[in-house]
Amino acid sequence: MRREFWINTVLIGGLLGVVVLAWLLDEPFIITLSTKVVIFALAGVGLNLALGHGGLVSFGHAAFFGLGGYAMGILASHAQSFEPLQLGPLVIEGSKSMPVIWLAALAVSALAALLIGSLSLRTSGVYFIMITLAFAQMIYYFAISWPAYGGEDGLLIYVRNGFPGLNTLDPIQFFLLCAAVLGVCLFLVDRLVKSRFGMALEAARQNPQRVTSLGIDPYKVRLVAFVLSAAITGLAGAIYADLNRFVSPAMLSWQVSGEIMVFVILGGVARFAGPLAGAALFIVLEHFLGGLTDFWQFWLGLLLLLVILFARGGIIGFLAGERRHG
Amino acid sequence: MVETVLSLQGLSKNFGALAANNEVNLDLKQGEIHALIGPNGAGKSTLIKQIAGEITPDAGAVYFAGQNLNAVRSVKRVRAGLGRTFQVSSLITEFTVEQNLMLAVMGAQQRTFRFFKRFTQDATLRQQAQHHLEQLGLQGRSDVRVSQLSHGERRQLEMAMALALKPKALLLDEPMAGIGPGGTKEMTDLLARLKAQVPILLVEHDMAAVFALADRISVLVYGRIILTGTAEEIRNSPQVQQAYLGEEAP
Amino acid sequence: MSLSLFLEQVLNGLQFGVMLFVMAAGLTLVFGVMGLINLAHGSLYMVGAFACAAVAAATGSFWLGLAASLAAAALAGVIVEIVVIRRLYTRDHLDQVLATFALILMFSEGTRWLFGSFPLYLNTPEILSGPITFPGGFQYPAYRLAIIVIGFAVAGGLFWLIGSTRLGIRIRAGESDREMINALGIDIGKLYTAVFALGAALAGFAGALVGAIQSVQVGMGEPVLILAFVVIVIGGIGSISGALIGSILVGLTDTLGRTLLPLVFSTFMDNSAATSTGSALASMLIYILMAAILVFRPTGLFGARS
Repeated sequence: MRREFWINTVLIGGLLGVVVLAWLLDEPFIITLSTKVVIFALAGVGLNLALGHGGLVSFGHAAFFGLGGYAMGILASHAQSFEPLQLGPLVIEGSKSMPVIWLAALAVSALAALLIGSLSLRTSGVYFIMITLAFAQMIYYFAISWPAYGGEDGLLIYVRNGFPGLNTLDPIQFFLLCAAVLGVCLFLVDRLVKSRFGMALEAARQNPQRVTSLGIDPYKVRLVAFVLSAAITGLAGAIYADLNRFVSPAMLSWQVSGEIMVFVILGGVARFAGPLAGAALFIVLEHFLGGLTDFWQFWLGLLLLLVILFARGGIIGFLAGERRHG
Repeated sequence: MVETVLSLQGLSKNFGALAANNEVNLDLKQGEIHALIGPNGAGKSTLIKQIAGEITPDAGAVYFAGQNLNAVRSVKRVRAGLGRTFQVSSLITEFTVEQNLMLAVMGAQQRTFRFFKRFTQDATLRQQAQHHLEQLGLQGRSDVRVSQLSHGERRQLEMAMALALKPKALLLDEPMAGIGPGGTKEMTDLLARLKAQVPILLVEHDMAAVFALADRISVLVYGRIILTGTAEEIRNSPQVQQAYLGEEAP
Repeated sequence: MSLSLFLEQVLNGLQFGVMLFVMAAGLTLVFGVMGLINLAHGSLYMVGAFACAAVAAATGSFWLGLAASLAAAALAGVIVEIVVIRRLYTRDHLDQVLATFALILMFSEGTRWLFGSFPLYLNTPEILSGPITFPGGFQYPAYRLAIIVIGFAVAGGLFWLIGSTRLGIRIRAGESDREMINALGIDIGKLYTAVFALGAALAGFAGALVGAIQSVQVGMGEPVLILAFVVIVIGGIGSISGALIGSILVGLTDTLGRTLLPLVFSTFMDNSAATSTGSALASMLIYILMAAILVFRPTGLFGARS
């Protein structure tokens, strides 16, 4: 535990150090790369709640990542064109304000997770994996074939959305904003894992029959965890779309589900800073291996395979030893 | 007239051609221990699962406090006051003893959806958990992980968890299995003390314990109850003797 | 819509369905016998298609290509099983998903390395290139008709294999009781390799057959893989009959939905809105079907009831 604490400190300190250095040396690209690490880590923090702590192997978290992205894209595009969004009798004004967009992304992905989760959680094991994958694919195909918001081509935003009191176009300010969001989410998830609810979730992962026999409904506990998990990943999606000023069905694709899972696994399942370590390693590999060979994903696959076969705790597990429970 | 807490009426369950339970009638009254015995494969587990709500009966019904439970899910049965322990120890093995009990207290309080406060700083949760630990003499083992407990201690912990729910009836599935003679003695004393608080349906292979504890005994053979009676009546029944011939002698 | 167009769509749906079955059969068999979820099954489909296209281009013979697809996919299956998969049987599903996801990355990038990013084209064989004319004048491509026939033949072959051969008996024994199979003195390692190779060969075969009507490219396997998952969820894991019914249901629903839904919507909407709404809804139809079946039968149509 002590050791993991120090590893986490070094990890977070290292990332901040890199960014400060890049800022001093005026290297905005490195800052943007670090922003990407932070956003991917946030998506991973979301999945880690369901997968690591709840044992819910969702292979469909791209659905929430992408829905968050589209929440940003749709609101911003309506604000851009000054045409409100009409949903039957409901008229929604577009918005270029991040807090509003984030709330929308949280709500949309939570709602989708409520629907998908309430069906998927009726099953377990392999069925759950395949069904979450299938539902994500459904939303993917819907996004491709629905022409109103760009269909296959996606949706471009001209200017990054704003946050009160900040200039989000300045890379360092945007990075710090993203890092703050990640910090808040890490803190909240950490408290949640150690709360009554977290205890019930962990117990439901280990022995659902036992939990039932104590008058606690594992289905409800899991559904709430799944919804919260999806909301965090959805928030990450909205911020990621803002980073790129672009959202497309690619954000909803099954590869993205796999990649979010890779962040969690490479870093270490159910570890506090696992997703951050995993996302950082992923970006470093993409950047450096990608510079050496066009086929860097082959090596990523090989690394992932070796981690799964021989180093099951991920990076943090490898460095910090066995995970302490409770 | 003593109140009937739990009653099974014409309960039947088939698995393909096999009738695991065939029109089982059985009741559990306030203040008694009612033991269910029978050779292996007689359908005791199937019966327990139907009472707990893990499988639905093909015919008949389970009544608890006068209410038909057939459409009630397992978790709601527990909340209604039907406590149970499992044949094979069923605990949260990566939790400590105290954490297991805290989970049970949480179930009893029905306050699971608290997301922020650390459970380690939850005074009511800890106090009640400690209270139940003390009742079963486990207070010294509070911080031990379940995976390091002895078999007998696990059984005690399971009992403590079942009692933490303040049940109106208890289903105990072979509580004496594998706990050794000393453990059996302790468990027997505990159950004898408990029955005034909560009526117990006891499924058990240890005949000495059954005859020492049970107010009434039902014998299940090939899915049917062939006899319900006092220990004396069961001991002297030729029918029961025959059913057990070649099995363990009562 | 004319009757002949409808008939054509039904046949297209059947053709799509039987190819899904050939994919899904291998997946469901591997899960039923070894308890393994294999995402790389789509990669084996791709391997088959590439092997067929490469050999057909080199030799000029589609049939040699088809034979090569079976051989290449089976060989890839055997190698992958021995090197990676057999270490995963005792692992949880999460490890299986991730390890086979890693295999997808390796297969896809490896194939791109060897063949480049551009799609390969595979022509249908000469003898099946024209249409077949039915009595009444209705025409349908001979190659697609052949796929339907081959698909049903494979289904028949599988039912026979599992129902009445020694290998089938062992497979069924392996599904019900792993201890027993050891007691029978069967080498379980070899059985698992054989089952995995069989599933791989089927996937490769399907890839080659479909490759001739679509293009052969990296990433072609995964959409089919996910549809095969939908099929298995609908049919019930481990059930070959379930896979057959599920495949045909999915094939017909998808194909007919894409044609019929826009027409249905055009009765009360203007044309362009009907086309976009109809096709968007059609793309979701099979998932809606899956959700509906899940509500009523969480373990699928032919799955064991819990």
